[in-house]
Amino acid sequence: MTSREPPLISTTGLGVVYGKGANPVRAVADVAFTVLAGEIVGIAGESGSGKSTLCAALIRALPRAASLSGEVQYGGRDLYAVSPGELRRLRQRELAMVLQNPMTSLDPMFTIGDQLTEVLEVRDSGGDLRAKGIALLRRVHLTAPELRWSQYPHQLSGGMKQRVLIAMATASAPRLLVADEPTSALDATIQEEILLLLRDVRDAHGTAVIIVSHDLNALRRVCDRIVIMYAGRVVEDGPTEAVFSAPRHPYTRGLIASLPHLEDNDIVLSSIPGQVPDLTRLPDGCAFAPRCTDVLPTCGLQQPLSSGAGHRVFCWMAEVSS
Amino acid sequence: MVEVTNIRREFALPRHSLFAAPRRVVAVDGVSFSISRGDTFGLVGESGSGKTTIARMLLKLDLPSAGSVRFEGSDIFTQDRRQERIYRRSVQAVLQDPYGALSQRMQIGSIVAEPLRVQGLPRGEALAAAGRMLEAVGLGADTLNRYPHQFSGGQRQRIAVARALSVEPKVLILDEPVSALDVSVRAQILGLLREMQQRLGLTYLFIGHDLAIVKYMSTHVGVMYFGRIVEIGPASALFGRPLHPYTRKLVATAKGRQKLGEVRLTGEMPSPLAPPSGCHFRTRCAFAAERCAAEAPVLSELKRGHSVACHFAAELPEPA
Repeated sequence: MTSREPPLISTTGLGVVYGKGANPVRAVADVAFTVLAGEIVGIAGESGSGKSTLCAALIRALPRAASLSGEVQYGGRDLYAVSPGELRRLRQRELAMVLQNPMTSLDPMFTIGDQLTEVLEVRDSGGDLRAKGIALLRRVHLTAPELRWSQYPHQLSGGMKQRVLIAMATASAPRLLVADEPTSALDATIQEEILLLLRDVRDAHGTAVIIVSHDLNALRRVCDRIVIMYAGRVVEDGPTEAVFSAPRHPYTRGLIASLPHLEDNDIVLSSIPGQVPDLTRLPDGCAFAPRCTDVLPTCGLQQPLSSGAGHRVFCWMAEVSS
Repeated sequence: MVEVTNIRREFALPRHSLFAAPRRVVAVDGVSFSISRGDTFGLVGESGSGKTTIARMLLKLDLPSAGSVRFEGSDIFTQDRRQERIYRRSVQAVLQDPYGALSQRMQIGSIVAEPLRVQGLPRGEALAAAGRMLEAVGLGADTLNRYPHQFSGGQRQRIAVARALSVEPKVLILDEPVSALDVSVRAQILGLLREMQQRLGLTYLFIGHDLAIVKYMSTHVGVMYFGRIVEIGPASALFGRPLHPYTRKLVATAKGRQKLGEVRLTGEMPSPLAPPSGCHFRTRCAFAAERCAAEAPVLSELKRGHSVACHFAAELPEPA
């Protein structure tokens, strides 16, 4: 990674708030991060950490109820300033996404074949669309792709639908692929294949891939970089191996410790004490402080600042110890 | 306690035309296992391998095409109405989705008390019992008058456990009970399930895809592939020294120490419409030979209490 290369997508002071009135939900706050072309970045965190909202913001797909602050730069342009026509063109050719819920992302009224054909037509590939579509389905390891082509979404299992969505998203060679929990509905052996598929797309086309997941093990296997989020903020951001072998934020350490290891004779399951904070009533200081075992007086009062260049961490304690 | 013998479940698919031959898919193919009182039997396998179909048959939501299921010695599919009533009370379920499992319009108290009401308990008593049950799973008594949307995923799963336990069942069918929950919450729900099992002497069928979690919960484990059990044995032996080539792949993938792509299951998933002859796994197996296509391997005991359905299990090289 050379820092000279301009990032494909970057955010500055990105914040997303849902709802108005006395208690708005502050889903994402003050996020500054970048993704280079061809980079695979994993965003990890528990439910409510803002990782899905951040992704939606990155591709300008937030619901109407959300209000955004800060900036998203895509390919050197303000993504929120491009015209609707240009946005449409970007979505057809450059930005692809796989959303979290495979149950509702496909239209129940049309067959898998109809829906794939639509994607292929927009990407004007021409030729025998059915053959191309079936090849795509086979590439994502769907059983009996010819049969699936003429089936409706309700006839497929969740894992199968997820694979159809990945086939649609990777039909063209997008510059950015955002995948929100792409493997959490899938079995371990198929998960492996989907991760390989995402990496192949990157290797073949230089696509930057952002994978959002709560599955740290999956992210570890495929990502160049990991971003850990907690209560809407980035708490740690660094190269995958550094984050796993030397996590700097206490929340990251807790998450890694809560992964069970199959090779242990007696499996230990540890959990992080306490509860995920209420996003309508966040503390002034570090949101993790109430669950943290190593608290300084500053932690409850002020947001921690980023320290470290290649491996950033937002923690007062890390600041002190470095 | 629970004895499943040679059950089979076929589903008929719609015909292409009125005159076409009927097409059948075998979802569960000659599966046998038994669970002793107080034990947990874990079922692992990919989606579509038949795990949930087995759970549905144990819950009497579905009938097997052949084979039998015995509960405390008597066949569950030849019960009279009174026996069936007792059975349905004795066997309860906690399913994957804590959001879909609880009716949005009912108060928590009514949700937990509903199984008791169905069993004929008066409303007041049922609600009182529901309150006690909610406390037992770690939720306050003020939970009774609230609605599901006011709770997090982990709390909803606690409510689902409370509802399942309200009628004092003997067996719980746990179909992916923590898959939808955050990592840090999983440990709490699994701990609760283990605590309840010890306190109440419950017997569990635990279906899961995270091998480490299945190992944590189970005394014995069966590995399913394409409707058949390919390996069955004590949890520690099965995950410590897996015998079947498929189990070996699953275990290697779950350990996750290798680089991405090093432990791949190559080959396509077979089509359920035309399953491979002989051993179902042979199309993806690195050790497949002629015999595997000709003859389906039967489960045979290779080590004490640890059986495997593979012609060559005894001769395979030690896994790295």
